[in-house]
Amino acid sequence: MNDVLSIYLTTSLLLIILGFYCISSKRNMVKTIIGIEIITSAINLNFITLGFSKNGVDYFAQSITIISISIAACIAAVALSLILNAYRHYGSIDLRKLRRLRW
Amino acid sequence: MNDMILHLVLIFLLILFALLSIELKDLTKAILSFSIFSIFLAIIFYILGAPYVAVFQLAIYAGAVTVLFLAVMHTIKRRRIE
Repeated sequence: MNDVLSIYLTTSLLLIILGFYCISSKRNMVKTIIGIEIITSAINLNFITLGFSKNGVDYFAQSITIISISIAACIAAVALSLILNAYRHYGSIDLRKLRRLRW
Repeated sequence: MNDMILHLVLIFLLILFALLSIELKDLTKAILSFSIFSIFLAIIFYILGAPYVAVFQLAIYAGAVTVLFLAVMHTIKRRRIE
């Protein structure tokens, strides 16, 4: 039981590293949002793993994870609307084109 | 032992689809890989004793967020063609 938990915790750490790599190295804005969503999923996996034990599951961790999933959907909606506004203003979804900030 | 093999296969597929959704150049394939990634994560949640979280993950991540991504990508691509 304990080795299964350590395997899942390592997977969560690996997914967080992958998400940070995606945010910091990709220039496409949609890829950046995908990286944020991967990090949020990894943290949800971490919560569920730590709430799982041999005696039973922790329902408090599961309720926190459900709230986190809903908030991640709201984050995705707001970020994608920001992408559409930036695309309408700059005509590109390349992040390097956002350096020239002006009204 | 058999249980362990199931866990390892699920984790391998999870990391594989996360890598695909990061590294693929085509945005449609990347978004669909992200959807499959969230489906595998829902299966893992179900195995770890959280069926309600699995249902929420399937409904919100694999449904709503993927549709949002596809709608935004479709808007951008159609404007790029014009």
